[in-house]
Amino acid sequence: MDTCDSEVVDKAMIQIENVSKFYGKKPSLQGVTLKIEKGEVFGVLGPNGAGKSTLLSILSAISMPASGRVEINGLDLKKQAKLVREQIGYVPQDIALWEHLTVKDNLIFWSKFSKRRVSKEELFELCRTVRLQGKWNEKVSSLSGGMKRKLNIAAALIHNPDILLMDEPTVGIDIQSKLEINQYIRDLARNGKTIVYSTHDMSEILYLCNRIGVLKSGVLQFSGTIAEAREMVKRKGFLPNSDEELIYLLLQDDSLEKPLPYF
Amino acid sequence: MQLFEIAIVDDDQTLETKYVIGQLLDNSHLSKVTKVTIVDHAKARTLMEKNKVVATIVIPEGFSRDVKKGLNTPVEVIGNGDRPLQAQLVRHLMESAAKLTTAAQSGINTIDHFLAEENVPDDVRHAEFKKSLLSFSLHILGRGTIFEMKEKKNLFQQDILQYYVLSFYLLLIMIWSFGFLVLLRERINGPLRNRLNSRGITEWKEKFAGFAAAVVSVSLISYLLSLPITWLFGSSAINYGNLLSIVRIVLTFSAFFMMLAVFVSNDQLFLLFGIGLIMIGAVAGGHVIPVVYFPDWLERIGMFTINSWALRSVFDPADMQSIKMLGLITISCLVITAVYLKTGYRRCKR
Amino acid sequence: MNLSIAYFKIREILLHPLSLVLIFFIPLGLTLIVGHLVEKGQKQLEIPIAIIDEDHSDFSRLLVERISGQAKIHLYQVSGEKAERMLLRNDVDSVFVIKKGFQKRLLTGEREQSIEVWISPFSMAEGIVREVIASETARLTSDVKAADWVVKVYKSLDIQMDSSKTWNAAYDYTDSQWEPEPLMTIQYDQLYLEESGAGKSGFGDSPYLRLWTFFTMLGCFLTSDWIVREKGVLFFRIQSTYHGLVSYLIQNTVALFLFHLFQTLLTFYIFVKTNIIQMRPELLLLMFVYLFVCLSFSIWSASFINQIGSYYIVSFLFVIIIGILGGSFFPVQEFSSTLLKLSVIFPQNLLLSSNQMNIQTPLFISGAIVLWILAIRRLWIKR
Repeated sequence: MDTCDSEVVDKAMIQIENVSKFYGKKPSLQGVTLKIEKGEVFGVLGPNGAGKSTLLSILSAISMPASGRVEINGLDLKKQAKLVREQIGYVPQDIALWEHLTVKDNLIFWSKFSKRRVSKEELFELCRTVRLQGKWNEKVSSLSGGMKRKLNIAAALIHNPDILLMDEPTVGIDIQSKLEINQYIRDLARNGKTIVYSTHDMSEILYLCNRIGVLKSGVLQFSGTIAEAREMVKRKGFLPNSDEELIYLLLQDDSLEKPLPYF
Repeated sequence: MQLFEIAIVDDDQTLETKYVIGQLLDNSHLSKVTKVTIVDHAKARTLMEKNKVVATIVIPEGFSRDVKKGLNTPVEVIGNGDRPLQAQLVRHLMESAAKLTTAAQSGINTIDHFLAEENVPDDVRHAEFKKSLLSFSLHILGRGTIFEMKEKKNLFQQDILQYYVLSFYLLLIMIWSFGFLVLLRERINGPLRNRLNSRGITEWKEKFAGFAAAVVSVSLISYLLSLPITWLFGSSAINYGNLLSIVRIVLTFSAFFMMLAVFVSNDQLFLLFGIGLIMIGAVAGGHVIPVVYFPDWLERIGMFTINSWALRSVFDPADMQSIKMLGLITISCLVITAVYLKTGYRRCKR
Repeated sequence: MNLSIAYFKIREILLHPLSLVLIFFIPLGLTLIVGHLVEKGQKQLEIPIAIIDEDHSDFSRLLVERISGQAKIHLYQVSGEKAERMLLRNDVDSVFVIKKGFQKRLLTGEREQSIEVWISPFSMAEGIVREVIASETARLTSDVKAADWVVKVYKSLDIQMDSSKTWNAAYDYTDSQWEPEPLMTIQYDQLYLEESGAGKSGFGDSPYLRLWTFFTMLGCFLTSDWIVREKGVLFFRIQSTYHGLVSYLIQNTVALFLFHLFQTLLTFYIFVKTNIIQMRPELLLLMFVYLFVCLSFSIWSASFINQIGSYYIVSFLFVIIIGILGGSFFPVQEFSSTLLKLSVIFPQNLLLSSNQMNIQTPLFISGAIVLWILAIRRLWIKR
């Protein structure tokens, strides 16, 4: 099975080399090596507990790898964690906002955490791009689930980071909001942002991601484009009817060793 | 209470002051808790500085001479500000001691005065003076004999320690009733409430279920705690009669705090009110100092606390007035809560 | 260091009325209100006693009159049956029965057992009341004794006199020495150790400062609840930002500390203006230290607890217990030498004992800093 691209490109935005991480004695990531280019939307797939969130928390410099090396935009994660944090915008799986504050105050407050000074006008503009301008002065506690998700994403974009790390940012919201958010993420990528996107949603992967990585039990089983994935599956003797089936196959626990009952 | 020390500085150094000191030392109430040392000024100061003595008593120079002349000479009592309670006790006892000394000295002075008026020779006068000094001192020392002590007790009284144990126990019941409702508040969030609503469990049913759970749990915990208390203080400390009154008290406290929980939706405010009411209840209700020692206005405030009625009911389970009062408070709280929830004033905002 | 997080937090507290209530009203407002009630109540505490006059004589009436004139005693003059009921219901501390023949016995010098005292197991102050009654009775018996003595000595010296007249004159003369004031009185002063020349500062038994220590600690705990509320997702996300969690924790705490500091300053000013305490800069400094210790304690506790309800309950019990043992309500260390020794470990001791500014103060400050670091480490490492 492929692990990653073999050739080294100097301008890679994210470069992960042989990274491992343990929670207690249990490995959460084992020898992960990966490279993500500028402007790419990289989808991280895997069953629950596969290590997706661990990977994202390492990339966002929240936790450090036990071994291996991570370089983000040319910065060493371990040595220059603070600078790395200014390069990334992290969207957590849960809504991390101050519910008792207004949309405006939340954005202002999050802007205080970055190095870059952000004006109120810029924040309002950001609010407008996620279509929350009408809720500018409303308390977060009064927003709908979809609106909170949008604001959750907007908070990560305040300091205009080059890299966005998104951990299931659309989980549990209505289809309309999901489509809007997906469209917005695609626009961000077009504008040169590098996005690492973790999700369980197949349609989102197909719509957003240029490349995908499949994690199982902390091991990166595959990384590459959808076409490369199809090739690999074919080599193993499977012929999925659709992209959805392809991804379903990729996520199977038995590593494509035997035919599945559905196909 | 620990034995505390008093320093006496005798600047007068006369026979009379020695008697005065003797009288002080002989106070049965004082000698149980105090140790008196006679020292000079410097030593007294050191003892005060080291916080070793509760008070310093200074008998001024010329004290006996002035007293004999019928002149008032105050004895200085310096209380240690760091030990205010003990210092106040010394002050009260010294005030009584001053009166006793006046009583004795006035008698001695009278005898001397009347003998002087009749020009009785000095040696006779002096002999009478010495005799009277001894006699009046003994007279004062024997002051306790005028009393005949009788102890009266009802079924539920044992000693003051029991009062404080039960009082603290009751305060714990109050805190538990409140704490139970604090913990219950965060158990039910918005979605869960909606789901409960969809199964026909409305908010008022949920609140009353919480109330019932609080009553059962707190009563059970209170009963379990009553076992070691009964073991320590004998069966009269908490018997079945006042176990029943404890359940009544738990009912009242839980109903009261449930009403508060329904009215105050903000967690911090609920906590603030709860703590405030517990503190007011503890102080004005008589947990620290029994209500009878309060001045009238404070006693009236005490009447408005559940604690004062609860304390009454624990110490006298047959007291109908407290039973009625606790019942009335419980029913009022429950009715107000039910009406408030039923009228739909409060809609779930969480 | 960028302080804009602290600035934002300050703005948020200012715009949030409940935070202001928690920071200002609890420590300052409640201290003043409760302190006033306690002080007033303390001054006016009375010992309720019942007295039964079975003698109805001049002496017994005089005794009752003099006792009822005592400031700290509340006298009920009732019948025997009612007095017993009052005693058993704890409505009175004790009952004094002036027995029939009281005057007659005093006049014949047989004072023994002329007053019956009924006490219940709950009687707390009968010892003091007994001393008061004994001293008032001693006044009467001394008058009689002196008068008897004079008549007796006159007789033995063969001095001509009208016995009854002399007796009365001697009696009146003895009693007159109580007026305008008794021969011996006491002059009471409460001395604080600082005044004794040792340069130390004890702040006495004013209930205000004691209560302030309790309410300030409570206020610190209630205003540190944000840690419990935010330690989940928000702290996690904050860790991914440039300034990071440590900066957020420090700046938020500094903002809170500033508000509490202002509250302390205001309290100090009001206390000085109302003569509750003397204007002493070192006291203000110690109040700041106390505040710092409380805030560190509360932040450290909050770093352990994940449920907000549990945090409130734990805080409440913690503050009450530390308050009682540390002497926030009454000088508890006077009751036992163990508590006196123990009191050094309670932060209240900084303000309430006379040994401040010694080794304890730096110890408390370093302890608070250690707690602070431990709290941050705990909140940070947990991720």
